[in-house]
Amino acid sequence: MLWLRSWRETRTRFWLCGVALGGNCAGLVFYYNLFCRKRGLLGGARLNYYPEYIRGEIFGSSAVQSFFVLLVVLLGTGGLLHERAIRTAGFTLALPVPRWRLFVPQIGVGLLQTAVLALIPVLVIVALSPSVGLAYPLAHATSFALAWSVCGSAGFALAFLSSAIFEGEYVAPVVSVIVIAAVSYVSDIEALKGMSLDIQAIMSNSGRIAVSPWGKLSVIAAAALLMFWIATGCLYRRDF
Amino acid sequence: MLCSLYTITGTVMLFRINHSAGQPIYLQLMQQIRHAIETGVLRHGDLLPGIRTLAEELGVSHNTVAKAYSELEHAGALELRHGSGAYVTAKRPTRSRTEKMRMAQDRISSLVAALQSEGFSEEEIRRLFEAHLLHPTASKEMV
Amino acid sequence: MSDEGVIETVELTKRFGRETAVAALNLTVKAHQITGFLGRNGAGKSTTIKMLLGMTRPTTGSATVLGYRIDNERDSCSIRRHVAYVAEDKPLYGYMTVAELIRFTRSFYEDWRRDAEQRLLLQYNLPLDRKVKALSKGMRTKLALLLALARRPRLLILDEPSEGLDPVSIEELLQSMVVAASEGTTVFFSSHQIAEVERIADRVCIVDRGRVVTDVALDRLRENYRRITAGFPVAAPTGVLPVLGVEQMRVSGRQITVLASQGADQIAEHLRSLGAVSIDVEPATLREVFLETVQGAAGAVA
Repeated sequence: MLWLRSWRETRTRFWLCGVALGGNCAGLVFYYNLFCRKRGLLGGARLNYYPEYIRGEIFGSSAVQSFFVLLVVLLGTGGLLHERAIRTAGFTLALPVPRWRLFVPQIGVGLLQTAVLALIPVLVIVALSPSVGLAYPLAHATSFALAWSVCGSAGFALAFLSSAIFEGEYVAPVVSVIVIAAVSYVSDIEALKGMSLDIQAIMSNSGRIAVSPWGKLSVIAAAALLMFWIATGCLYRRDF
Repeated sequence: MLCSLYTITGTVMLFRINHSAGQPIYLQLMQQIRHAIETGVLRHGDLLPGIRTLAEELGVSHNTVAKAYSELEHAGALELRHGSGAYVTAKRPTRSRTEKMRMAQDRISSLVAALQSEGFSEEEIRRLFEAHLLHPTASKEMV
Repeated sequence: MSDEGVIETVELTKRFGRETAVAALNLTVKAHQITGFLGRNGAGKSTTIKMLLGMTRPTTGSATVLGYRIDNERDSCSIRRHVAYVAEDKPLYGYMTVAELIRFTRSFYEDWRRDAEQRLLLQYNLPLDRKVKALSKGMRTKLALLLALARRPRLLILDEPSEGLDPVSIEELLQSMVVAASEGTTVFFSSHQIAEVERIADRVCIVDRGRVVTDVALDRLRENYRRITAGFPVAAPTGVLPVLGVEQMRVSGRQITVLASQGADQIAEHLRSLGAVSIDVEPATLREVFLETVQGAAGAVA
């Protein structure tokens, strides 16, 4: 029942995010013909350039990446502090379940939704490419999906953590966005480029190598787990 | 003040409970039931409403009704039969007792009427009675 | 049947920063009774209830509910399983319909009773297909009550249950509480409506500034609590009265007002011996007891 509730509370957001992201990607796929015409790409050149286009416009595009991360942050808000703000915490906390069992469905549903969202660009591209007479290699697509899922989960974990710390309906997502922008800015500084802070690069480059950067992804996954652990600790100890 | 009408096997009983009087509710119930028995409103063998039913009807705690019934049983006025309910076990009121009650009621009516004609309000009369009954040794010397 | 209280707190304390919401509270609520919890706003009633239900952690002190400790995670869960609680603001999920919310809540409790659910739905006239956020305040309250009363819990805790209800619904609510108590549920409710507490409670507990100031059976209150007003020819004597039973004493000019919990006769005698020329002894209503004890605590001399 609690899982259904978490789904219920996020499903509208989820559908909207899915449609927005899917529509964005579909639009970019269909735009390819116009793009080629503008650059005078025909025949073989047109076919060969397609993966690069996709990588540039979707998987590697900071615009689409940011959009995806923002959507994930949107999914990650909510939780007990949010409930306190909208005054339903008293009901949820009176249920005869241990407090940790209230978090698990929220995290579980959120991670599943993040994974599905990460798959949407892949599915859209693979499904729609034939309609513009092109094909996109599935192997590339899935490694992108994996990288995006992991990075997305980290974004979700961040949103979940800030919802566990900051009260009020709107503070938490704003803080999450600021932190993500800060990380992105910091990772662009030359001096720190060596460290695996560049989430953007990870999200962009996977497909090119066609081999997932497992090391870096593990670090990000660990960071996500750490954030979940801190968040649940905070919520567990809090007075409502 | 709370008034409640309750029909018990054809008899109509009026309970008047004062939540602010200096008297526990169970005592008020007991007195009113006793009064009904003494004036013949309730007869030997009559079945009183169940504890839960009466409590619900009057809007008081069932503990209160239970206590009233139990005390009345100790005093011999009720018989609580397990499974059936509370039966009135009044000795058939002797004529003289009923007569006495009626006469007392008449005396009270005329006293109240007299006080009212002297200008005392109902509330004041009630207070005088209550105060006297509650605290018979307090002297009321006013300067 | 053990004599242990359904709720027992031992020096229960809650501090928020420098503010003390609940101060060394020692409260006992006995089984199969209706206990009323009276106090001004901010006296610590809601905080106490939240601690009992595991929503807030006490600063110091301990408590048990139905024998379960409130500071043990598993016990706390058991408490919530056997307790039906209606919070003051009647929190409910606005996006669910009435039917969905009932189905959701029902799935958590083994003591849910379908027949009571149906009866209350009819009695409260709740529209099954309407979203909770579209319900009027009175209907929301009734829905919250339904979710608690459609069970047979061992303990029913209600925080200001009659707020937002019309008089007819209040009658129905009080009846439901009486019925629940007669079915074996212990009822513990806090209210500002002294008249309601006076009607149905067996016992009343008055808290002020986080402490229990009065804890008495209503029968005893009616039988023994008196308000004694004594008039003196000249300025009334101040100073503590060395007589048992004086709860509060107020001196005002030539008059002393005493709230006595017992021994009204002896107190009246003593006042006469001090020179009082007029003594008035009245039964003390619950309202008077409440006002005298929570205001009296602030200062004995008016």
